Amino acid sequence: MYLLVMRRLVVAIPTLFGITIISYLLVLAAPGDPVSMLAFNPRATPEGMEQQRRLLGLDQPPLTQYLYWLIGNDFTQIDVDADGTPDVQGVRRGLLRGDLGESLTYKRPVLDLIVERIPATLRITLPSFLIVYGLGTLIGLLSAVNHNGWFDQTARLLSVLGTVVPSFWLALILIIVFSVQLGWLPLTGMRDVTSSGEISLLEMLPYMVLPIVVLSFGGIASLIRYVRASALEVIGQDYVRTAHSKGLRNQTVWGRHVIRNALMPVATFIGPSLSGMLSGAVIIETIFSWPGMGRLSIQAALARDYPLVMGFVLVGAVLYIIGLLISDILYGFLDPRVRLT
Amino acid sequence: MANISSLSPSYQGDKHVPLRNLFWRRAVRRVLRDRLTLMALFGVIVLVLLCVIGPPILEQALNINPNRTAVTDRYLPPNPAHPLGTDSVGRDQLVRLLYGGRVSLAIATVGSLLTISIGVLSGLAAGYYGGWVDAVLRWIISTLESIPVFFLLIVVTTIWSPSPETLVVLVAFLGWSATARLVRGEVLSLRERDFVLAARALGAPNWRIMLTHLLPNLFPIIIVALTINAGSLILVESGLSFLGLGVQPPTPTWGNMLTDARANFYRGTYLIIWPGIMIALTVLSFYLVGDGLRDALDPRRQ
Repeated sequence: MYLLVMRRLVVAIPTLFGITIISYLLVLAAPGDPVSMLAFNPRATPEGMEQQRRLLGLDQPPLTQYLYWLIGNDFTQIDVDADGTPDVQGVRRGLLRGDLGESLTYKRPVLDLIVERIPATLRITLPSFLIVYGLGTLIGLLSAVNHNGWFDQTARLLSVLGTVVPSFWLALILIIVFSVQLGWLPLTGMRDVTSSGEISLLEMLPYMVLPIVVLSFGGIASLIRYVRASALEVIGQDYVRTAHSKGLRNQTVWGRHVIRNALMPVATFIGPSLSGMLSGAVIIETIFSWPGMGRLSIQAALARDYPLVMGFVLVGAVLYIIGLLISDILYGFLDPRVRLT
Repeated sequence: MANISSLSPSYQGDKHVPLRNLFWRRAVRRVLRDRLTLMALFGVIVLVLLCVIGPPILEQALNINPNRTAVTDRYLPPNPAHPLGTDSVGRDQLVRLLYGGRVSLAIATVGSLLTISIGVLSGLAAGYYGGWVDAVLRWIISTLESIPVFFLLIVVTTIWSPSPETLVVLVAFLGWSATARLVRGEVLSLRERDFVLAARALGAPNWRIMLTHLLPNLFPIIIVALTINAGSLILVESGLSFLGLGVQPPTPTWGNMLTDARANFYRGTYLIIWPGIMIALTVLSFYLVGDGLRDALDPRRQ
């Protein structure tokens, strides 16, 4: 097991390296650099800006800049006033040590801004995740048991609807029905993380219902299809027929032979579905004014806050890779063959 | 079942048809027998026709100018002059819906073509050559897929503020990985087949093997991928436009019409219902057509 985790971590390294390259290319493509924003400051002089650029290493060739961006430049002496003698220690700590730069609108480190929003996002993605996997596997399996029966047909209709109905539209419709017409649930908006005062879970619950429902609806659709197809394939296997023909009861065949084998590929689905959920959260949080990562990313995008927007790519990728790792470990638990090889 | 019936005496006419044509004929026959797919295909055609030739006719018939704003006509509920009502600046919703459809459908179609082209070319090269070409492509794919696609889209739309044209390029460059993976897998099994060996024995150069021997065999999966992709691109585009990062107003798309309606939903739910229904219907049609084509073109799956 330990070996499996280690191997997966090693495999993730080239991917992480690729992500830093993509992110850095995007940094280069974004107009302006952190220092050019200073031009709006009336007290900034051209010489001062040049000094700042040298201090941040922005005068270096691209490859050096990439290294500075990745590992920082606080191990080098910098010749800030360009008189030929190095005089100041670098200040950047680099991506690998959590320095994603400073947000242009909030004037605070990007990583802090994103990390403090993660709990709020988890508060709606985690329950959705549990609902999707709990209910999704259940419906998918029942649907396979009831192959081509009425339950199966209904489940398939549900999964098609979940695929084709845009989540933001569903959210608007639900708001109109449950918040405006019926008045059962609050309209939108949780208190901001930045506002003071603790909020109890009970107080939060009504705000969470609609975002969770909408977020689950899209995710459950693809999972039902996946579980159903996987279970139907397992049912057709020879060992299932053998189990039936040696006189095992139906429950035993399902419990011991079908379900476990049918759910194995589902475990590999966790990584991609986590990524899908983070993408979904962007839209859902914006509509429901939920103070999580997703809404911040849109606010940052609309304000053209490049360092902050870029931070989301990195944090999102890291979250995805963690999800992939979890699903690999889970797969190892379900399938002994993976553990042994 | 189609295979059995096509062997029956009534299909003897097929005997003199070249084998490749036979495949497509059977596929067409299977589609013609599949009522759901036919309905969806009909749906796609109607949608395209409505959006392409509908607006000018409607403008004539109802005497409407789609870009004319009129303060006095704000938030009119549906009425004979404006069958689906008017929006926050008094523009007719029906005509805007159809113009929006043009933009959404065009982005989906062109975007899907571009996405699939990139995916097919890279998948073909990786699968055929193998070795380092394959290794590099697999690395790029796993990297691209490890970033939640919406975050990536947000970044690129922030850097390159999109017109419909740039949006097409951006979604294509971010969305080709699934097709590339699919094509690569198919090519890996195709290139071991005897006809490839025969072509190589006759001295055919690599490009010729890829273009005239492998590519035609990929058409079934390419066509299916094109359709399914067009459907999901409608969702992506409308989502981005809804968030204000996609196509910018005043150019209407179904997504940004909803943004507008969302801010004022207490004024009229009719402004929210229709764009959503159009999106769902379009995606559903593409999805069903893709599904039906897959069944028709790949009998092994059944």
